[in-house]
Amino acid sequence: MAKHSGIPYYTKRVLRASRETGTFAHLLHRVTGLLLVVYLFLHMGVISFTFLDGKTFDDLMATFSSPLFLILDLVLFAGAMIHGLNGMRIMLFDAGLFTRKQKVLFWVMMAIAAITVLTAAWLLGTLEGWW
Amino acid sequence: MRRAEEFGTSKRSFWLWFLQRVSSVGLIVVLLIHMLVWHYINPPELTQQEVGKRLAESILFATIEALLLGFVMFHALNGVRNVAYDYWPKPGTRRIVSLLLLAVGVVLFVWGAFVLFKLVFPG
Repeated sequence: MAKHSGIPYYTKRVLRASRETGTFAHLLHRVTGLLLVVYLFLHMGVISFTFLDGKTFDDLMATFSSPLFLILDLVLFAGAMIHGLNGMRIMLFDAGLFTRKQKVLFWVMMAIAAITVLTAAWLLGTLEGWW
Repeated sequence: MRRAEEFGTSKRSFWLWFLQRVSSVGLIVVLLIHMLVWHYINPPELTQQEVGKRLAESILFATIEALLLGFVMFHALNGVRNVAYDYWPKPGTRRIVSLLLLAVGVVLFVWGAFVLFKLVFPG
């Protein structure tokens, strides 16, 4: 059993199978999930400055309003939408629904994610006066 | 029993699976409120003073933020645990990972709750 475990072994297997829609969805769910965990820790760290040091907090918040960070916000939003919508897909399977339509359902969810992210990008650009 | 543990059908793994679902639904609702209040509905300026004021003026919203902290902490660290369990099948390694994540979760939850409390009741 020990030979068939570990990060390199598991990653190789998943990557090899990721041409299959279901495995690709699994991989995407994992990558976005870990991205959100990293953001959560950074977010909590930054918010902690609100009472540790007000000046630092205000300066940080001003930095986060720069275009670079707004683009990163968009990446975060995309990650959250993909993770949330695919999570709903997983829960539908738990309820025994659409299990035979899992591939189509994945692309339907990703289409919804794409539409919301593009809408958000358009709204952001409009508010910031980028076009 | 060994089989049950390997395939994740023990009582504990059922509850963790179930709570992962409950927290995910909770997160969708509470995260939406979080985003709306901080960034869309009459959004405050993001300075120490304004952020503190927004939290202190509504105990209901502060409670929702605490709920968000609880949901997200469980969901995130249980998610990491699920990832780790895919990589390491050894019960010993799994136990260490689980306990480590539990400790991280408790510490971060207490820390977050403390920060929130300090913002609602400054001084």
